[in-house]
Amino acid sequence: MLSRIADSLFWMNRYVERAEGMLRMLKINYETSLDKSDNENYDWIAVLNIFTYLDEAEKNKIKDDTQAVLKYIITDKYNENSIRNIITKARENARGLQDHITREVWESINEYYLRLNNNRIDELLDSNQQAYAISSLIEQSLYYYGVLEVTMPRGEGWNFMGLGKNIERALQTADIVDTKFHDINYDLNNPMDIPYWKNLLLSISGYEFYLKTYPTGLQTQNVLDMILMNTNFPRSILYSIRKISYIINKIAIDNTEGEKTLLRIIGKLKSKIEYSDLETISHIGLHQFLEEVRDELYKFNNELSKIYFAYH
Amino acid sequence: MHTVTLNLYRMLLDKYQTRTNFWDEMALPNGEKRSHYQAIFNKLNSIDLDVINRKEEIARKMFMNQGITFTIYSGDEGIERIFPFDIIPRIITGAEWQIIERGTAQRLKALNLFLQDVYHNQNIIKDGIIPLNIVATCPHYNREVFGINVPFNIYVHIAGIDIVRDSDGEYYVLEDNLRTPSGVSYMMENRDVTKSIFPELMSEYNVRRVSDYPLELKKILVSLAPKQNQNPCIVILTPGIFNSAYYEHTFLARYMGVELVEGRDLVVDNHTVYMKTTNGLKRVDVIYRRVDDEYLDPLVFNPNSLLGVPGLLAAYRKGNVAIVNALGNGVADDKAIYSYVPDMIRYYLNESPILKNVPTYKMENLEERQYVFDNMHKMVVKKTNESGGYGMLMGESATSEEIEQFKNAILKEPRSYIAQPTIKISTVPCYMNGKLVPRHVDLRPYALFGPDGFKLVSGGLTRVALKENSLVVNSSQGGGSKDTWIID
Repeated sequence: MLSRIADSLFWMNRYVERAEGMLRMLKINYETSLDKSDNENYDWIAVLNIFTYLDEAEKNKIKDDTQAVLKYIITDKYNENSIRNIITKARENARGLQDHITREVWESINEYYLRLNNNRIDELLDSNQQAYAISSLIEQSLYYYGVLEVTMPRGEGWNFMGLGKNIERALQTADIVDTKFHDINYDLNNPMDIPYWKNLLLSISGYEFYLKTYPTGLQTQNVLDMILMNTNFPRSILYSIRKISYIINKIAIDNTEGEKTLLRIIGKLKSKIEYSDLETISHIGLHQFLEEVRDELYKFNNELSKIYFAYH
Repeated sequence: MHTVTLNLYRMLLDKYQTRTNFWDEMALPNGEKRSHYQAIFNKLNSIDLDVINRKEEIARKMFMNQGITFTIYSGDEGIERIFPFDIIPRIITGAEWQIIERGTAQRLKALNLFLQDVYHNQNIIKDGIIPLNIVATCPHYNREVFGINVPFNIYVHIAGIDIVRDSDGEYYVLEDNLRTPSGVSYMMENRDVTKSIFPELMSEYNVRRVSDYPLELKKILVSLAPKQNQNPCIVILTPGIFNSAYYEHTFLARYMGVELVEGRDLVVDNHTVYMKTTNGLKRVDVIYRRVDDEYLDPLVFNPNSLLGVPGLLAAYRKGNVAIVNALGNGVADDKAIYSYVPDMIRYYLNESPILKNVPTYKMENLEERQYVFDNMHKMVVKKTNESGGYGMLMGESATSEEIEQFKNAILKEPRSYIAQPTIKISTVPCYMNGKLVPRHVDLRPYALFGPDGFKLVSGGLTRVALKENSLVVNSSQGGGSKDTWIID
């Protein structure tokens, strides 16, 4: 497979995954913002912190304006990280991949793009139909994943797509956890109850799973356990890292120095999480721990590009 | 209510008004329909307006969702558009098609011999058939490929010859596109869409197939591989996703099952071309390039080009890689050389030309230039090195200011311009806003030329000028297209 093609497959999937994570986050926060009685002081600062590069003043200006925040994050042309721009990039990659993705995959990503680029989406966001707007975009990305699953041939390309998706997901989960725990000063003994965590859990589709899996115990620690290392939860960091490890073991079979490095980085990272418990994490500090995880993922990503995507 | 719309619609159809002094492909001047259009006319007459509108909507959605778009450049911004499609097919009878088939085969044979000659012995110049200065001043005459031998002596593997029908009912060749003609994917997509909106007509009409094109082309590409290995590596070289024909490049890669590459994917080492893959370098045998000559190799041509591959020409010269179409073909479809094609046919083949040429006035000839200047409003002036409807003056509709501008430009660089009398190109019925109206069309059939001989795909791209009375059909100038049926 051409290096450029592998690179584009990787990024196409990474962008769609990024958009989906953002959309879920927006949806839940939007609903929360409507529960005025419970969340008197709700604002969008946490979301703006994770998904934008705005400075403090700019954030403060729009943090109480749901419509402004949603428009900025979803459709703003000048926000490099808006969903519209992210999906445009995914589609640009897909355009360069025409002969490597099925026609159905192309059509699904093209539809997604068209939905973000017609006036209808702005109309919805302007007319108090925000929930519908966000849901329809989430559906578009679920449709994309469904089409991938059903129509794409397995093999090398599929593997690179899997890496893109899982690296993005692990990084995003790490970011979300970091932000949410930052608000309680990374105190793992904080007695925050379910209502505090509900938001976070819903946004990563883990609320029901959480209620079933963790009936007792200190909520703060349970939540962290689930998001970091519950391997039945498809958005946990460990789940994504195991996937990455599984896939890279299928790709890196030539035993070159570069490939050995890749296997070593991901192997170490996997063990690091598998053999950590909340006590050791609390000892080095959660923030520090997450930083290390992210650093290793970035290092992995850089090596990956060097070995397989180097065509410039 | 139902019958009311129906009757109203019938009325609209019956009102189809052809333009006086133009050939209409469906209707005779007295309003009668030509026999090969009768069935489709009856069909349109028998269905409800709503049904037709729905068919039109289905067609539009098919193009939009498939992302079948092209890019228009205005200023520094490119805009993606779907190629407008008219749902009513253009029909050509098998008997007429035979003339086009024989005519294009003859023309391509001569043009191919000309290319071989002009890059080797140059007999046609020595024998005084074509003046030396016309070739020497042609910007597309590629000195770098002089003396290079190409496989089977074939230079033009793919041609898209533009043909029009004048008011006398005769076919004329407007342009020989011998470099990187585009549009073949639209020919095939148009057929797919027609199949889904007019299945009953398709079966009624015994329409010839167009879908073999990618496989026929692939057969030719395989046959050109330098080393006769069983499984040669064939690639399509595209300028990238921002090129206006990118959709087509992907389409062809997909339906030929070959790799679509950009210049940055390729590297030349020891006069051999390789592509960079996740498993290291892989040798490339045949390149179907959709990149112009001057961008192909920055070491020899435009040094700023990022679209090409350094060292490609050296590999080509050594015969280590085949390139389709051959380099240097631009000298044969140059608008000034065009006027000599009938002479080429007589010179190389000793035959008289089957398809007519449009009379062409050369601007460095003083008498011809004066004649053109005196009759500007009857002329189409074209820049010899532009295509796609750019750099063109339609005398009929031009303002006196525009005419002056062109006159000055011609005086500055006479070799860069030619003029032709305005051809009264024919009209076909189009469905627009609930009405059947005549619009002007041309025809681009696609010819393939390989070691096994010449083959014209039975069909082609009919381009339509969507604006009323407009004679410019280029997509960049607001043109659309139609499915084209060759019927038996």
